[in-house]
Amino acid sequence: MTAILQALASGLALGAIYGLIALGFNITYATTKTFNFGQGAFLVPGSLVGVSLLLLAAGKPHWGNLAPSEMTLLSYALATLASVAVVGAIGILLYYCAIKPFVGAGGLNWVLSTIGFGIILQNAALAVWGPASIAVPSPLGNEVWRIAGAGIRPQEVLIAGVAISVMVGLDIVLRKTRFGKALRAVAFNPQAAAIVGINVEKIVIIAFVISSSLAGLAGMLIAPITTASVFIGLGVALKAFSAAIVGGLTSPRGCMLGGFLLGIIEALVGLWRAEMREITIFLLIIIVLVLRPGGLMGARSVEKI
Amino acid sequence: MNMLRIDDLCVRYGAIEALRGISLQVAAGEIVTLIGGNGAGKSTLMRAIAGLVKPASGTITFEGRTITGIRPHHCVRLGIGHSPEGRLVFGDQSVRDNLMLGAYARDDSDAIASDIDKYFAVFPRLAERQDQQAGTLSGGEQQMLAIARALMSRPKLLLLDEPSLGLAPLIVKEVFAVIRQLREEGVTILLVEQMANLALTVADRAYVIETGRITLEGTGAQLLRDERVRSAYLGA
Amino acid sequence: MGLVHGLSLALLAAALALLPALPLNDFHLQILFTIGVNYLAAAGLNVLVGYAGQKSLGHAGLFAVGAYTAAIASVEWGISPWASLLLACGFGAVFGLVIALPSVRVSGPSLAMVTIGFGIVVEKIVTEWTDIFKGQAGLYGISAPSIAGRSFTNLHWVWFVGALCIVTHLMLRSLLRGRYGRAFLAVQMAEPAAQSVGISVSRYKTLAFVVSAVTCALAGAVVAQQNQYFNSDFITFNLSIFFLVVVIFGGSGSIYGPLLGSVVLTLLDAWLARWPALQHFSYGALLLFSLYLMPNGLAGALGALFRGRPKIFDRSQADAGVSVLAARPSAGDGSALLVVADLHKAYGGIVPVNHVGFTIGAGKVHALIGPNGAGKTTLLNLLSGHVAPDSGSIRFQGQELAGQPAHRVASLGIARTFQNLKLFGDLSALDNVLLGAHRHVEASFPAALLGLPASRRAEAQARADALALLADLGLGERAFEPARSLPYGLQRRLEIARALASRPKLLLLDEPAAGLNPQETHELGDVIKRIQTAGVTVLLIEHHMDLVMGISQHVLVLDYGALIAEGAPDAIRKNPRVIAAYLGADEDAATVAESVA
Repeated sequence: MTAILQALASGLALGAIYGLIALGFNITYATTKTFNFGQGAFLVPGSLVGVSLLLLAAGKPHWGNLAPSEMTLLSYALATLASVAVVGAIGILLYYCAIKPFVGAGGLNWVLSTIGFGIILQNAALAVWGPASIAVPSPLGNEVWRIAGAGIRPQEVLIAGVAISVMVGLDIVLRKTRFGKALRAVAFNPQAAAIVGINVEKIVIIAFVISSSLAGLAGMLIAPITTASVFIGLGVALKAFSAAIVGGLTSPRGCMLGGFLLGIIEALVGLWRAEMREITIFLLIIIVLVLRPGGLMGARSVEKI
Repeated sequence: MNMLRIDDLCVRYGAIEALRGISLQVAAGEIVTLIGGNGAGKSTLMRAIAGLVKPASGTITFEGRTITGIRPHHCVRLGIGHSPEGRLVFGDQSVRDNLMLGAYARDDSDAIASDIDKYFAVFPRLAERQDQQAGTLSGGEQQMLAIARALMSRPKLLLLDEPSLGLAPLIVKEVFAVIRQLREEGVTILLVEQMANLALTVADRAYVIETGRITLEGTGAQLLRDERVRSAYLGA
Repeated sequence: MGLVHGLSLALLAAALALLPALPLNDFHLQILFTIGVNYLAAAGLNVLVGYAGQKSLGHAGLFAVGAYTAAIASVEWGISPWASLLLACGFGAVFGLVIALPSVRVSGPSLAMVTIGFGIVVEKIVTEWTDIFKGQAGLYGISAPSIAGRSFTNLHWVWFVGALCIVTHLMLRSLLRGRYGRAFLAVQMAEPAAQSVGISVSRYKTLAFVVSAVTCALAGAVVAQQNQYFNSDFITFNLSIFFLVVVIFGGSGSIYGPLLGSVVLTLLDAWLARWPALQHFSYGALLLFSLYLMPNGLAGALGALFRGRPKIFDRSQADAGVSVLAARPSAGDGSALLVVADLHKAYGGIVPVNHVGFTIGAGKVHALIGPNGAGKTTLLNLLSGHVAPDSGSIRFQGQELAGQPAHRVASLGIARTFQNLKLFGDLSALDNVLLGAHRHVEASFPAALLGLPASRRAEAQARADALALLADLGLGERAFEPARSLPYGLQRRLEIARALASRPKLLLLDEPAAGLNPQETHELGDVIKRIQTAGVTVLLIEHHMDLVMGISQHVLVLDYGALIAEGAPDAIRKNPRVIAAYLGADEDAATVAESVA
């Protein structure tokens, strides 16, 4: 029982990470029918920029291991903000290099161009930080908390807390604010949005900034669990992609739900046989897509003849 | 002084010549209608004025300023409101939010709120359904919403494209009653309409478009009794 | 073309034969071997990606199927290397089917997800299921093919793979130049149009998956045998991406794309191996920028440089064939060809087709008219099977069509055109018409793959017939031009030619005069009359009333999804309900004027 509780907690944290990244996929897909296939690489600067800032602040070189004493919750938060800003700015670059030339042209060239952009970004990071992974302590300490007998890592609580707040916040922004309504208007029909005076390209660029920032945030949040390295991104991003597809790429709430679903299934399967996690998840995804090609909460698109 | 002036406008979609040299004028305060059969190029002309398609050649002048090829959100800021063919309301947002989005180019929030109230008075059925998702409205209500949304930008010129499309006759009457009312208020309107007789009763002047060219022009009353209008639709 | 191709192959064979005379070390031979293997994998993947238009990001999984089949067959089951190779291809085909089953049901990002998922599942299985696949430790002692007891040297391996490549190339070339290649392209370019000429989209996608799986598995098997060792580290997501890059960078949809891609990328890889950081950068840059600079890959860019002489049409090519329009059957007797009863279709609250019933008599030209938004195109889509009705019946020559898929409807003898042209734009006018005749080109898959004489004869006959039809419609001179480069009016006519090539009994035309000038509209009227004379019944949706009234014998009027009138053209023109539907009734206008004045 406690094992299940423990698994649920880490599943929730992991799921929150997937949900964050998946939400980013949804925001750009809704507005442009494209998203960043190389998103995994965006987690890399997400974690490494923040960690390096903390290291530099502690008077160390920009790579190396970070001691728990060299970080406070405040400095971690500030470093996270800086990371998110940097990765968000990379999102603008992504839009101009890999999306704008291909969007609306039909075909899936944007899939390859975004993968290519990701490879370049990852190798730029490799040149700056090298291949070694950096151990990152949690700002809440590495001591396991005992809750109802289950051992829960404080970072998991932090991840779930921050990620869920951000998701709820974005959900409110998308539903209530002028910007959110404009973004949904662009998603619904770009031409209709343009004729009420919305600058569609500006909204699209902001969508890519948000999507990239979310990946950056995910990278920084997950670093204390996975360590920070150039190679952490791909696996996480692939599962976030699965979450978005399973939940429904066209539905923001579907994407978040998909994230949690995947995180929890992964953790529970891990209890049974750790090596079966990926196999189970991806088989499940294939089955879901066969039964519901639009995902659990997505709309099925119909081609007009 | 014409509010809108179009000279020798040509638009192509790939190999198709949708407009083959259109020239027309709309004076301030006028209702001008474009009539003609399907595929004649009426909607293309509207889309070109609103900045949604780039003309191949020719010029569009609005209040003395050349606006050919500028982007649609700039057109709105200059004072051109567009209620498009097929309505294109934001189906997943509420009626009120659709109207708010109509005022996206404005930043006078008090006046926006009072404008919303004003159009709720003009279209009482929208007021009743203000919190409903626009996609759940009937066709006629969506048409009202599309018109109100376009008016929310306080346009000097309103482009009204096929307001009767797919609506039952009774609803069409209501929509045209609103068009008359707008004319009383002095809104300049360029109206594209398939139902020629109806359009001609509200219009000051009219142009008949056939296969991308203007073939006939005159006052609404003149064209209403012109046999050539009927033949443009039902064949000679 | 055939001569140049033969010479190139002979040159390639000669170059391979002369390899021993060159100062090549094992490193060089290994590079040549790798080029060959990459070509094998990419050549099949090109059929899937470049022809059928299905982007797969999981073909490392199929590479694994081949490699592990060869490895386990040899190590565990003691099967001979030659038999193992065949077995690997067989397993590849089976797994190609397995991955096709879910894949043909989805598209776009979901398709990418399904293929990624497949790749990862295979990767994890071979990594984790160590009892059978030995994981990272790998399988040792995989036996390699030998001839007359002599095992292969590195040089032999290059020869062997070279031979496999040439055979694969010849088979795929034969396959792709005929009806199969056209059908794959049709599926990629316009699914509804492909269905409208009787092509089952899911069947051809599945076939493409299987072809790509077989060559990919073969590549894997050859690598395992040459290495005599295979472990799970070979199988990664990056390998799937690499195969896709070879295809797309080389030029997807060109038969030579995979060759160019595998040569350039393998060499680049070997050359850059000294600077690993640069190697990865260059991949990223290739993916990012090559598509921008060369949207059609290397093959596309080179093809634009060395464009051969355009083919010239001459009358004699068409003389060997028979135009569909030349048929002179007994005139239609007006008996019921198509009987529609109580047909209904609703989308939410909108009812474009509301309990409609009518009869289409054989041999006549029927017109379906009505104001915009009346539901005409939906009705046509119901008849052609592109949209399934909610209820009601469509009986065609006594057979029930309601609920049948579009390709089945087409194969029963109903052809159509589309309001917004759905030509296969990159294909020549001739290929468009040949696609129309798809069902009538008698060539089985094995015959097409092996280029057997029967398949060549069928292709030649179909070609002559298609040229005759094109010439008949005044399109002969344009036969070898890409459809999208034709003037708009001729594109409309080409679409009619494509539909006619399927030898339909009933032809559905959706606004064939839209966008035509008066002269072209007049000519269209003549074409429709000739179609009628050739014994084909026509149902025409049209706004152009001069045309409708001039050529049709029977007019149906649809308004708000309901049939409001039918009859002879003159009667329809005077029908007050029809006039009201079009112009808005006069009294309506009067009431409006009063109510607001």
